[in-house]
Amino acid sequence: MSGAADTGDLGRRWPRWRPGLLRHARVAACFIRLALQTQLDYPVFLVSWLIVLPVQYFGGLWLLQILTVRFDSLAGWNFPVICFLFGLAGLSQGLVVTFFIGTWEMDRLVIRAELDQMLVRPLGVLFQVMFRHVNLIGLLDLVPALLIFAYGSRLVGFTWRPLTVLELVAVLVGATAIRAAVYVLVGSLAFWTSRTRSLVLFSANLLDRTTHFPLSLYAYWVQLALTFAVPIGFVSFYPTAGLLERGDLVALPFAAAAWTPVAGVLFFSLASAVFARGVARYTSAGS
Amino acid sequence: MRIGAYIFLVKVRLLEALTYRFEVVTGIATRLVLLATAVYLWRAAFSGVGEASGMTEGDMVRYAIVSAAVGPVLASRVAGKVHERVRTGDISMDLLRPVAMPAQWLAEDVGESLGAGLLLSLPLLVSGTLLFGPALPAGPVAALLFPISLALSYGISWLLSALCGLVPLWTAEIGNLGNAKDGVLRILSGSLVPLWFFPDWAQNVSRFLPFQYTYQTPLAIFIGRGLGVREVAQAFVAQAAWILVLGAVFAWGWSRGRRLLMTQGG
Repeated sequence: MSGAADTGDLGRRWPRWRPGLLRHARVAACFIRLALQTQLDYPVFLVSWLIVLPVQYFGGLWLLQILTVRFDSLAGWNFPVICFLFGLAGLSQGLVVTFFIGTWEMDRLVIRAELDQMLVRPLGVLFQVMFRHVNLIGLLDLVPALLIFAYGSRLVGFTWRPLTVLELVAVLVGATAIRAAVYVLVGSLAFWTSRTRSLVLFSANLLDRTTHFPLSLYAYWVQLALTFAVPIGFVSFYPTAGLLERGDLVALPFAAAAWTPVAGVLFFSLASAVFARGVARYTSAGS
Repeated sequence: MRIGAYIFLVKVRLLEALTYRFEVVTGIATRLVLLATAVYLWRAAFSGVGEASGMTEGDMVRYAIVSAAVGPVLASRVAGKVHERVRTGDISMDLLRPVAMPAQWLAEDVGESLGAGLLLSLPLLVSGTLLFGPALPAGPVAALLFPISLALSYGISWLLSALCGLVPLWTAEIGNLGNAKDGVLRILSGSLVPLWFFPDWAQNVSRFLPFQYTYQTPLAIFIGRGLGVREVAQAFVAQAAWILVLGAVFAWGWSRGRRLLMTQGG
């Protein structure tokens, strides 16, 4: 009867229980319900966002429209195509803000040791980080994004067929994964540097400037970096060229909707690997 | 001497800004990247176009560099700060101090802005110059007028932020209206795209709003657009007038909101 007492490692005494996909889905649904209930208790805080978000979306698009009026086009992209690009970018932005806002506040988990309670739960840690907080504000993001996308797709004469709708869904899933991966990577820095708040805001700004503007206005090496190193180009730039069958608009041969989910899966896997390394390194704040 | 207290607050904030070196380095780097996106935008716009609305590519690149440099100075956090302090109740501590509260906020913000100017604006101006071309004022007159106009800009942008900061005295749970103001400011201040590229109707409307007198007025002086005596006089009068108007509204709002706060605190 020896052994049990001197096993320091708790993990070895308990069976390693890996909950399945169904259980994760059920927990996610529960998280979402709880988050909605708490936020709807104080609905007035949404008021300022009701002003901010339309101003941001329509104002940002308006600036690009002004520039395309004065200068005809930006790197060969005219206003209708830019409007489509802008709307497409806005949709994945809205999705990431709605479902994965938790990835924006990862430094809190480390600084305030909130990660402790996640580590002891029988669920994936990254899963908890991502689904812990579903955000009503994101739905307010989606409304202007949808309007702009609808307007843009009318301007370019986008054809709604079952195949293009399927492509669109695949693009949105992939683009949301890419955006989430960017925030998971930046947030994971908190395991090493602890302060990442300003970097998160910077990433949000940079994502705006790289998904709302056509990537082709940047230098070739920047385009290469945003294709292979940090695949932001697949969020809106390449899929726009792909969905509109305008391969001529891009310099690299990725003008197809199918590339976005591929890039999403690869980049998100990378981000979760980095996150796992960070968790392994994590020592809680207290004694 | 009462004024000594305010100077002390300025100094404390300045020293605080100097302490966080990591933040400073990332602050410069991230702003440089965003500046680069603006520079690329103008280069793409002007490719094959010599001049638009009287501006060349070089003018707009300079405009973008200086805009990025003055950004940290003009950013005022007072709205967010007051919102936070009302929500948490810390505002009662501010009221206990033997200095007038709005002046206390202003002193702290001036200190933060001076720190930002030293630690972010100057390095941004230098590195922007090295990367994208010289960002020098259009001439001695521009060099002389720019700081005056920028100081007036600071007054306007601080008052706009402070006014948003008063809203939580009435309703604490409406969220930070400063964010809404920032959204409008980003579009109508000319910080990214100056208003002379806008359609005429928008320029006419904007002339009667305070926003373009924050970024665009000093930046235009810097790059030498509208340096005639009449234009400069008009610009300065408009800036001063907005400070008076916003200052009066703020004084009125503060004297009323402050009493509300007292009753609420009990």
